[in-house]
Amino acid sequence: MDAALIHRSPVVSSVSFASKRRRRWRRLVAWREIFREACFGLYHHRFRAALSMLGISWGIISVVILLAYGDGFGGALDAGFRGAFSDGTVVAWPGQTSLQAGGERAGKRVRVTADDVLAIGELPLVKNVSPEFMQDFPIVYGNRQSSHLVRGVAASYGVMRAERPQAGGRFLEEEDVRLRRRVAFIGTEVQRKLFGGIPPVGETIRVGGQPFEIVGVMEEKVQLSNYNRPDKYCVFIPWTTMGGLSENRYVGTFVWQAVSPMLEPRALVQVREFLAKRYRYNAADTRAVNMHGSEENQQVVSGIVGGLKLVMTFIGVLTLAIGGVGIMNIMFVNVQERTREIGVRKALGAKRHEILLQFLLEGLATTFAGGVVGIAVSAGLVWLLSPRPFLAELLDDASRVTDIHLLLSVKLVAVTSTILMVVGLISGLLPALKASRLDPIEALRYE
Amino acid sequence: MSEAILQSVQNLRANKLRSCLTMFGILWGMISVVVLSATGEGFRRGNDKVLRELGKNIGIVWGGRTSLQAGGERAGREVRLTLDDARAIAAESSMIAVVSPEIERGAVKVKSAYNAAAARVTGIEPQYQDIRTIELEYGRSFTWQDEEQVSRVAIVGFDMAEQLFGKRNILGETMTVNGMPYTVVGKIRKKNQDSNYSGPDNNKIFVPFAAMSRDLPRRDAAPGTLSDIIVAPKDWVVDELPRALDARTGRIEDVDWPLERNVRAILARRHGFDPADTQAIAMWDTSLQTLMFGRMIGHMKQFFTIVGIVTLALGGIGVMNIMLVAVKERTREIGVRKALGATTATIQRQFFLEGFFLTLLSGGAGMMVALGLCQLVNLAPMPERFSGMILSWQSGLLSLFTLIVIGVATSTYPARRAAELPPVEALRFEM
Repeated sequence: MDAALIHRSPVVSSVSFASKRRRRWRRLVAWREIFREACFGLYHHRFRAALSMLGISWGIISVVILLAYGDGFGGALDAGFRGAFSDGTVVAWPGQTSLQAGGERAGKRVRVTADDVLAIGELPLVKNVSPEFMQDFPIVYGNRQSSHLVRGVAASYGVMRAERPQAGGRFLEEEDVRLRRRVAFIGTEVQRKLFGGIPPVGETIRVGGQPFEIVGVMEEKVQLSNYNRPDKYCVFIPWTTMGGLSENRYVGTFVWQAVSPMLEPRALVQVREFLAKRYRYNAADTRAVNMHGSEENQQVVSGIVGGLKLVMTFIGVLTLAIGGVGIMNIMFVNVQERTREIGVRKALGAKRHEILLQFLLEGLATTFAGGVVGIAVSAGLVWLLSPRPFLAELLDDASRVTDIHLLLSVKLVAVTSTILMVVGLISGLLPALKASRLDPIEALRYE
Repeated sequence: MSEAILQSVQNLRANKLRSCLTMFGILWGMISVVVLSATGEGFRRGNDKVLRELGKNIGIVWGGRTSLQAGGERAGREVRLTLDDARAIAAESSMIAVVSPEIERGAVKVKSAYNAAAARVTGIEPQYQDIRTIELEYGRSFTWQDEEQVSRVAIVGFDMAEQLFGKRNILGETMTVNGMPYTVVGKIRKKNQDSNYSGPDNNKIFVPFAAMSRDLPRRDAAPGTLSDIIVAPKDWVVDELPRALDARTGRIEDVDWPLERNVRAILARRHGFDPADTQAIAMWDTSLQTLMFGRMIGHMKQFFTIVGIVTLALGGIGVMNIMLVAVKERTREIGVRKALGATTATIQRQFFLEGFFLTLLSGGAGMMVALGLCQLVNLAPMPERFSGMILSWQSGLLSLFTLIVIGVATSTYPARRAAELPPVEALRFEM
């Protein structure tokens, strides 16, 4: 008995192997059949299928363009604001007290000395700080003269306010400030007015009658927000040197930067408390020393951009959904028209899932083809349409970074494809389910 | 006609699911047209509102320093503007509608019965209030009577009022400005100003120009010197601006704007500087900003409208597809009707009306839904520079017009196909 068992077992396994292979073969044939049916269905109604495909492509194009526009809109605003301030930078200007403090009435002018400004740099949450003195001076180079805003600042100002030097020059350095050097960093408009085509670095200009050597020229700067004047119209000199030109005991403004942008609100409290204690006013008095942080700008910008993106996504996704609905609609029609055929196939032994697969495949193929065409076309359109005019004309920005640049990013394609997949599945599945659930007898009788 | 519509309704009802799905396409298309153009309009209005806070189309003129020699005098002379300059601009300029002088002093000691402040005080003439959008929460504006009588009255900005008087009603309150008693006659509404030239109006106190020049003249300049002159150009000057902008050859900042040239010419005669000396006066023309922002928003609106219309057209494709199916399905019926004497025109009209009716019906419904949606969104708080979703009547009409065009375009082809079927073939047709 044991021997018989031993003898028989390979036979059993070979039978099961053969049947497995046969089953796999059958499945393959079935798949091929399903695939052929789907293709045939599409081919038979090619005009219909083409129109549905067009719907999907159209939907994809509008999703891509809308989302890209939203991204570009945010990018342009970001470029405009980032151009002026590094993250976490706060501009402060002393004002007047608006609350009573320590027996004193409100309305006392607050004057902050440069030393106290520098002391703010010692606070744990503050990374950089610079006093800033601003005054208009006549600037003379050779026989050319024009009036410009001169800003007396520290070396760290360059980092905080994103003042990038053109090649061959530099911003002010610590040494310049410490040694009270007569050096200047100038904006592009100042260069244009005074120098024309001559390279300015190393040249000497007269600021309020005193000679200053130019150490650097600013890169073209696009600035969406500014105080007093955009930076390209300004001359920057060490604040210590400014003393020779005008009174520099009390700062007009000062700029400081939090250790990280996230910590800006907490650093703000710290700076306020420090100044309130030093100048004896109420720490809750926000108008004694006014502060405007880049975070505030960011919030306004992200509010607008977020809202716009939301609208865009909403519209885009639903537009694609229309394409999907179009496919679903046509698939339902197909199912209805082919009710008889389905009846016949079922009567001949076709399984429910085979019918389902056939119609699902038809829907998916349409969606997929439409999607691929749509993405290809939108890639072309994005390239063709970009950049859309936005802020560049307003800011006289020759580089056009503040226009809306449409970009087909990987993220965008991933998002669109995901939506497409969901749309395709839903719009293919519902009609396919309907087809697979048809009662064969009823279907055969259908007219 | 009514029979045709009745038949259309019947046909639509016969294929409920199909009709609903088709209608959804148009419905959604309409919603997106309306929502997108309402978003664009919201941006436009919000932006307009912010621009108006400073004064929509005004020029602020400051004295500068001459950079060219003229009339035997060397360059580098300071140009100081006076009240007479303002009067001369008003009398001589053909481009300017309104002129107001302005004197400002910062950190003036102001005391009320409750609190004190170091405020910025501004002396203005009545016409200033209109062009600089000084609108009151309550009280009265300045009049020429205040100027003639040199009245010590004041209008107080929103934040300054709060500092000096807290939440009280400030009408009729007295405060001392640099030691002199002034009566408050008005409070300015809270302003949402995105740009300014000497601090936001919320922090200012305004007094009549005559009182200002008597009580608080500028200390840093000769008596009678103004801080600046505000001018408002006539409408045609603003309308000409786009032309000057488009005709420029170089960069925008190098353009010598007609308005500034005009003002400079008048002042050059009075102060003896070269009219070509661009440094002698400085002028900030906000109409240029208005124009630029207008263009920026215009581009956005244009983009939105196109996307919306494209979306609506997508719905139209759905309608066409389904109508074609309907024609095919009803081939036999068409054959019978033709055999019984229906003309090509009747058939065409029937199918056309059916598609068109479907389009209009769902488009109308979409419009309603979209308007509701806009109302809903407007309940939420709006960010700066965005006034909520507003459908202007122009965009409303445009979307209806587009809807009709799409309806016609998508219904015509299937109707044509139906009408042109040869009756014999049609009768023989089997699905």
